[in-house]
Amino acid sequence: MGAGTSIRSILTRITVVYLLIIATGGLLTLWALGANADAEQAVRNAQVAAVQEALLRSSYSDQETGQRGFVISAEEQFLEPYRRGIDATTRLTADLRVSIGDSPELLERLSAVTDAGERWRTEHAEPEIAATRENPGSGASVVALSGGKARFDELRARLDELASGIADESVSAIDSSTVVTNRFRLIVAGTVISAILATVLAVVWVRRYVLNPLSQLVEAVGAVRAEELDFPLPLTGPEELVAVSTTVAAMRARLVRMIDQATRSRAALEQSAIVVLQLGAALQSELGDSPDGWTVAGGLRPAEGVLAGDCYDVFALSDSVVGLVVLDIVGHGAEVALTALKAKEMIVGSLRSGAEPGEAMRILYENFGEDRTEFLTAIALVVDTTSGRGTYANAGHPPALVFEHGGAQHELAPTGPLVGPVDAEWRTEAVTLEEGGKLVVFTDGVLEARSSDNEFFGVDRLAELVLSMPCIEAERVVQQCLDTVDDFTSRNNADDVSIVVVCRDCPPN
Amino acid sequence: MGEPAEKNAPVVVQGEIDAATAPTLTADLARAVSAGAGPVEVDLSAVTFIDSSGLRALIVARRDAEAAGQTLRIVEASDVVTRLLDVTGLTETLMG
Repeated sequence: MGAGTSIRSILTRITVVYLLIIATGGLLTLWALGANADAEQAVRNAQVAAVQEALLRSSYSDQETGQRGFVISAEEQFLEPYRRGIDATTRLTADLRVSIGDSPELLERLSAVTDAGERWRTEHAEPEIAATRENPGSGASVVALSGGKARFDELRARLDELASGIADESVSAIDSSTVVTNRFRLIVAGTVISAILATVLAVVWVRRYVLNPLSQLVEAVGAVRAEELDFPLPLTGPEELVAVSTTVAAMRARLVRMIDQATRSRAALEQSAIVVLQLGAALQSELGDSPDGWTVAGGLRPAEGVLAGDCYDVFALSDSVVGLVVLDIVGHGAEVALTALKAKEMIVGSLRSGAEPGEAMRILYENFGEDRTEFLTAIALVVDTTSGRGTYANAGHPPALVFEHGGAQHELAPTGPLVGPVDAEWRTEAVTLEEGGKLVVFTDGVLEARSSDNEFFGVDRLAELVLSMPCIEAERVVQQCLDTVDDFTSRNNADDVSIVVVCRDCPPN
Repeated sequence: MGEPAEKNAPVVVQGEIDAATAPTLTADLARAVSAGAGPVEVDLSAVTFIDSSGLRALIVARRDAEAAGQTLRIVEASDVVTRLLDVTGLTETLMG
């Protein structure tokens, strides 16, 4: 047994050894029990034979006593013991023959007894009984002539030999029984010792070929779990453990590959993340210092934390002229964000080159790409901060809100369709922002923000909120609007939410 | 969502059209166009909400219909659909 031997094989061998021990011990025990029963039966037969021999001896004595009494007295009543003795002798001889049937020597001695008894009866007892009946009163002379005593003495001698043989047989049976009993004890002791030895051997085998390799494997697996990936895996022991060890080794190799892949992926992701962060920052441009008497601020909350499809920018076209662009493309993610950024830069570039907002939208349309199923909405606005007058174009975008100092409000309605599917022209309209006025540009994510009660935030709620904040800086308006929308949706915006606010300072009292 | 109708019967759309349901609308309108049973008419009078995803589904369906030599137009529109088409300037394009 050793490397390559399976646990199944080890257990089979141990089981076979135990079965052999149990079978051998059981068979020997059965044999010993049988032998013991035979020995005890032999002892009992010898004891019975001894009793039967004594009774046989007594039956012959009864015959002699009865025969002598009749010869001396010539009275028939004295023959009664003689006749009973004959019957008893016949019966006891048959019984005794059965009891000693296994011993030819004793049977031979019993035959000698029977022959001697028969000779005494036929040659002396019966003739003397007949002579006595013919000559009553001549008993003494008959007895003297018969010589029967000598014959009966011979019978006694044969009985003594039979008794001696039966006694010897009894002693022999007792000795045999003792031997069988001792053998039975040896068998039991041998079986127990063999079982103990087999158990010790099995424990040694299991410890050496199963438990030790298993402990090594457990230690190795624990090392793998603790990320000690160079820990040697045992390849010895039963086939099953070697198979497990081989599988763990394969898993470890796969783990190493996955860790390596994950490390490389993480490195790539970190690099991508930098790009994404830079892109996200580009979508919501740094607005820089606002012109005197004006504050400008913007904020963007991407939908569910993804990279937004919304984009805005505020930029200086001259010392006093400021440009503003807000746009929204369907979808989210890096590709959409890049398209939004590209579109924004296209509008900004057009405005910087002197194009009116409507012309900037047309330029964007002409350069937007061949896929006319993609589209964006946008607002482009240019305002002179010295006068508050400006122009704008709205390409299918939710109308921006203009609030006058006194509370009146109006919308910067669309001046053309959204950019993409339709070949169109975009008008440029005029707009004026008086002192104390506010311009709020937003994307549809604000209007479509939905509460847990399935209620939309809507433009009215936005207008009411802005009107509640007169004569404050744009940054506070933006922050308040975004926070209110977040609270309204429980921070679960389905769409990007963008707001850009331009505030012209309130006039002095 | 929408269900292709019998010949010349409008495709009736009801409920909300957003990013989650727009793919279903796109598929339904594509089946109606591929059926080739004549002009595809879309009834949006039972639409309770539509966003840019739904608008895109309609634009894609109209483009596919034109590519197949057919026409697709909205014959009925709810207030929310009408308002969105007005704002985006697509009323004439999709309902004309």
